[in-house]
Order: sequence, then C-alpha cells, then structure tokens
Amino acid sequence: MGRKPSPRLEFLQGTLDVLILRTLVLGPAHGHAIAKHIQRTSEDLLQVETGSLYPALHRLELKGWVAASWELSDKGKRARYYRLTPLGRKRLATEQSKWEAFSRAMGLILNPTDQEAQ
Amino acid sequence: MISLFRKLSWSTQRRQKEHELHEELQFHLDEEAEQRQVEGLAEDQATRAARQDLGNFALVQKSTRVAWSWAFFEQFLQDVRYALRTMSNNRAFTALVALSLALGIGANTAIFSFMDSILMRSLPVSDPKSLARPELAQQTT
Repeated sequence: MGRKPSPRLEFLQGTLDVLILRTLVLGPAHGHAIAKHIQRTSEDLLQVETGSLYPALHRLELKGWVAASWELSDKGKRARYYRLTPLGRKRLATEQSKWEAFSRAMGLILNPTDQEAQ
Repeated sequence: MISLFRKLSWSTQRRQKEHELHEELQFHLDEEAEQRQVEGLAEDQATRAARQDLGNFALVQKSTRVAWSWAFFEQFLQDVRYALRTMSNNRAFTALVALSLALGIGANTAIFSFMDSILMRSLPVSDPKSLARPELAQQTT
C-alpha cells in the first residue's frame, strides 16, 4: 500500500485558504468534496492533508468568510456543508489579485526571455 | 471583531462543537472509504486506507479545535497554575528567591535615587552656589 512518490507541491502559507474559498465559489461543499476538488483540479499536484483542511475550514468559519450548516449529502448522509459568505467572496477577490501579481512577478524573474533576447 | 464574538459564542457550546467535529471527521472517513471501494478496494481495506489517509484522528481533532478554542489563553493559565504549584511545594526556596529579589530591587532603587539626585539632577550651570533667587521685597509702611 506504499505511496507512489509523485511530485506533489508543498503549500505556501495561506494558499489553502484561497484554494478553499475558490472551490466554494462553485457552490456549497463538505470538507471531503473540497479536498477532492482541489486535488482533481490541480491534476493531483496539490494534495490537501486532512490535518490542515479542517483547521483551515474552522478558521475561515471563525473569520466569517465561510458559513457552515448540516445538510444531507447526495447519498443521504448528514454532512457539514460550507458556503461562501459575501465577506469571503470579497476576501477571495483580494487574495486572488495578490496571487496573480505574485505569480506574474515570479514568472518575470524566472523566465526573463524578453530581456535576454534583446 | 466578528471572530471574537463568534469565538465567545462557540465557547459556550463547546461540548456540541466537539461532537459536531467528531461527526464531521467521521463523515470524511466514510466518504473516503466509500470512494476507495468504488476504486476497487475491499471494504476493510478501503476503511483502513481511508484511516491512513486521514492520519491521526485525534490529532486532526485537536489541531482543528485549536482554531476555535482559547488554546493560547488556556495554556497560559496552565503554566501559571503549574508555577504556583511548584512554588508552594518548595516554600523555603520560594522565600529565598523572593527575599533576594526584594533586596536586589530595593538596593538598586535606593542607590539609583541617590545617584540620580546628585549626578543627574545637578543644576545645569557652572557655579550653582552663586545662583540667587530674586524676590520682591514687601513694602513696609
């Protein structure tokens, strides 16, 4: 049952919060679904550890960025569903633009093709 | 600010939150096991794999609880209680420490206030003795 050594990326601090908020834009989801969605969408590059997922979800709930309620899952079981709040949506917008600026800056430095060609 | 109020209200329903967290994590386990069964594992194997994937159940519970508890404050209180306990177990040592601290602080304060008055607060003129204070003489009629 050994785990295949695959190139999994380590999370930068605070990344998980953004990933969770972004996932919830698609609609309410429970913890397991959030983890699976992040994993699937990132083509298995990002693996969400349960040990960091639930603390993060509860922290976000405490900050009022997500709201939680018990609902029946599609298989009829009681599950804790997380929903994005207006506050969380606003937060996501700020975080997203920060991330885009950061990744653009990294890209400019790591691949300075334009400057080198000149 | 919102989070402080939420934290306060959560701490009043602690037992229920605890219970809910357990149920939430249990649901996660079941869901994971079910998915592994779909992927072709036998039931007991799937359950075991799910458990392994989740890691230490109690640890996940604990680290999640930290998010909504007053962990920092509670640990601080624990430390204070521990210190008081240790001190009362060893009275002589505590008294000695308190005495030496008191003497040390007292002596320092005394010496400092003495030095302060003669060195720091001396008048900012070259010959303080020649200073005079003019006063209006009262006219006697």
